[in-house]
Amino acid sequence: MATRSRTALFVQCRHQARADAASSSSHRAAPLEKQRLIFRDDSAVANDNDHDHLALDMPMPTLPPAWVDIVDDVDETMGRIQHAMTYLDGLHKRHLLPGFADDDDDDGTGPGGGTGGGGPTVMHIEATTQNIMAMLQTCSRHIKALERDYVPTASPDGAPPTYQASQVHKNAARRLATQVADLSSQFRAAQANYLTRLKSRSAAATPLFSLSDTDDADDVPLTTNSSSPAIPGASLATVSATDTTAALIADRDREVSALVQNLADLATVFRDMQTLVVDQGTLVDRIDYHLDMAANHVDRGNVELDRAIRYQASATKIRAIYLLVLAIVAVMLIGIFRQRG
Amino acid sequence: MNVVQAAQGYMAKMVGESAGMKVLLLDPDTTSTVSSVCTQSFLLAKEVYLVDRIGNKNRDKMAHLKCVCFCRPTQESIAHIIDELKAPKYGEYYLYFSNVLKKLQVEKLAEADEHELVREVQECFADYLAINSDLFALDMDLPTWPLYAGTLADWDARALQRTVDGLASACLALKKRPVIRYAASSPHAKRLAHELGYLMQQEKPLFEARTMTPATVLIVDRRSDPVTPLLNQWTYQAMVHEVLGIHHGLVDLSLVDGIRDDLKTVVLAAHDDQFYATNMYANFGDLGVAIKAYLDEYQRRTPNKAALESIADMKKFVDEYPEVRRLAGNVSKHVALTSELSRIVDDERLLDVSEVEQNVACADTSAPALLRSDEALAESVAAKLRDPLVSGESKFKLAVLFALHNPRSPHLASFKQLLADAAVSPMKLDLMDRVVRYATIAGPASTATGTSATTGLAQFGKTVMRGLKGVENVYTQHVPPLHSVLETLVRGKLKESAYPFLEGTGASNGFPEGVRVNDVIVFMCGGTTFEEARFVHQLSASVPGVRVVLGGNTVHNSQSFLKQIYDAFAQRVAS
Repeated sequence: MATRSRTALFVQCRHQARADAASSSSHRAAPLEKQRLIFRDDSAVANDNDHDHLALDMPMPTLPPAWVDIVDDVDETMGRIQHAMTYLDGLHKRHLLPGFADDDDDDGTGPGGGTGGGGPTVMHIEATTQNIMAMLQTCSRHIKALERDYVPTASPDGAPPTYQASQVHKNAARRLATQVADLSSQFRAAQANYLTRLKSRSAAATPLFSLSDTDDADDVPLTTNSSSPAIPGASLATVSATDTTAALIADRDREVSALVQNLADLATVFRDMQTLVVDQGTLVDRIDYHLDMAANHVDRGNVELDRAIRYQASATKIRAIYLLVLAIVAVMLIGIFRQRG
Repeated sequence: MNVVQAAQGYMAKMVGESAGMKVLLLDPDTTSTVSSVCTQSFLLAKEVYLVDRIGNKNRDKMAHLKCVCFCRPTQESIAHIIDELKAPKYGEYYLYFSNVLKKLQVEKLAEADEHELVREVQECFADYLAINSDLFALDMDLPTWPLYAGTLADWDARALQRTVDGLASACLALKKRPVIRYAASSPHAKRLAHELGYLMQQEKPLFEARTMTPATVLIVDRRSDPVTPLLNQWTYQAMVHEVLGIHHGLVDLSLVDGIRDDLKTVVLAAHDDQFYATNMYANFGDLGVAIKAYLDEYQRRTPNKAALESIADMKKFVDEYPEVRRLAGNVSKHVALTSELSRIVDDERLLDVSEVEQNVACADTSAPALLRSDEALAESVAAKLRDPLVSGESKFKLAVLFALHNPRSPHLASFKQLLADAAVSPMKLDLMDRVVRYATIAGPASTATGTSATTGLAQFGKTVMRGLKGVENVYTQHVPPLHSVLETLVRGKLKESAYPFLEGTGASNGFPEGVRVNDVIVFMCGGTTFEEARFVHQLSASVPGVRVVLGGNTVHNSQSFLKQIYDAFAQRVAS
């Protein structure tokens, strides 16, 4: 697609226009020279740049609202999550490399399926996974806080927050939510993939015991202990079968509950994000729909204003009517009393 | 050569060039361009948090936002931008224009930029509405864009300028240097070709850049084929447009009985919707089968409430939830569309009417031996005109088609009478003659196609063969004349007498007659149709190495086409 930049021509014309304006204004303002000098001194601008005084009369709030900091924080965290996920990916790959079963870290991978010497420890993988989980949780908390707490408040002069300011705020939250939701599903997919590969590899290596065939252990989808899943069966190929079995069952119970908790947590994150995420491909995703909404908003605002004005006017009328009625009743009462008296 | 991708590339460039929170300002033209290729989620991902119109003066001052402004370089938009620059609301400005900026306009903008907030001024040539990957239109609908002024041979000046700009921007977006050929029989096409050539001369450095490759730009006229827009269509996209109307990629279903609120307006875009992309050229029967398969897939993936027991199931559900939700929305949209189409087909007896229409449209005029079949044809038309169950619209279209087929037929008077009996207004009856006049482009031969001449004998031979072979599907037997023109062009055999090169291009650019052509951009003055888009798509798919893109002033259905002819005669053309 061809594009053409006219920036150079534009800057040249702008420069030309400034120069012309400067020269023409200096010609015009000869008798006003003193005034201008005074003005310049007051503004404490020490150079001969002609349009500095123009820049000063731009009374715009140049500070972004407070929630922009939160957005920056979440962006930074998401960057770190990305890095961590790539790193974890590398760790997974190396862990899965077939090697000799001489690695003794509390792997539980058993004979025939151990990691190569010098492969990443399970603790390391677990630590990284936990780290990513924690960062995802933080992001989701920040986004919830952003959406709930940092709603654009009334501006200093008492006017309510404008439609546009609230739109910007909402859209910022939405973008963050979409990105976090994407990251979390990416993470879950990577975990699931890793686990299936691990299971398949260890299943090939351990035909003896199938203690790991319960549903719960199979579904270990998320995070935490990526090593323990379906492998306990392998380590049972020892004499102290019963003891280890009991320990393993206890272990697995703990794991399963931790897992369920993790699943629940991630599901909450996921659900929260979903409320913010825009459904793709629907009418709500169309730009012209949003423009029309904005235009309607302004129109509806006008309608409300008109209605308010009308009510105001009618309010005065109604008050007048009440007063009249009261007056009539009062006069009638006076008449009755006078009659009696 | 994908116009949607080109437009999306421009959008990505525009909003991706600066980091930080941004505001996007559009004008009414670019709003439709942008909405058809770009979604809100895309903009959000690029940190565009607010979209508004440049003409809206009630915007807040938000200096921490950067402003990306994408407009057509019209007088109005430039005036709005000048106002904005004089009283800026945002911290920085990046100006993008959808077509060539004149030096004067750049100077005015530079003068207005007192606060020196403009960082970039660029031209991104996305001045067209990208509908499919190989179909674009210029959104020139009535009443804003009348095409004819004075006589049918003259362009309306504003419309001509817009058309030239739009066509040039499409060429630039596709990075193609036009080698222009136009239909000799059409004064409109000739004028447009000359204007385009003139623009190319003026902007030589732009068109002669090293990255531009040559492509044939073929300019044809709707007037040489008035039959195609009037026919009933039976492929998904064309049918929805004919029956319901697709406007800027949106279909209005609000008048349908019992429609859900979120389906009152639906989006039909091939680049977002996988089902639509696969089925938009499918005929109605195949479409029904595809919808059933789609529904089955949806039911298979939606989990049964009872089945969510083990953690595995829960996990799978949570993983697939967004996918399933999107699927649900899409399924309900297509089911609603097809059921509405089906209802209308039944209510208005479209199958029967369409059969007669197709017979009339495909009937051959140049074989006197088949005159008897002409009588049979007239009789079938009359039968439909007398049928009380057929709508007035369909009857009128049928009569018009017959008039185009044989303008001197003695039956026309009786048809007019039948139409008047069916409460068709006399305004419309006049329209019948006018359509015939509209079609008279090259003298007495009413529907001149201008292809390399197939003699009367060859035509007769074709008809006989078709009669013997039978037709695969009587409802889609019509082949638009554009198809044969394109086929001959691609083979390199399009006659120069019928489709001359514009002087200064052509043979000198290495495209002499006889050389096979690879990239073609076809532009139809007066508007194109979805049926022609389908044939273009199939041609690109069937012939390897050939890529064809179709464009038009607008995309017609029968209503908009008749309206255009009516408007041309009623207000502009001197009788």
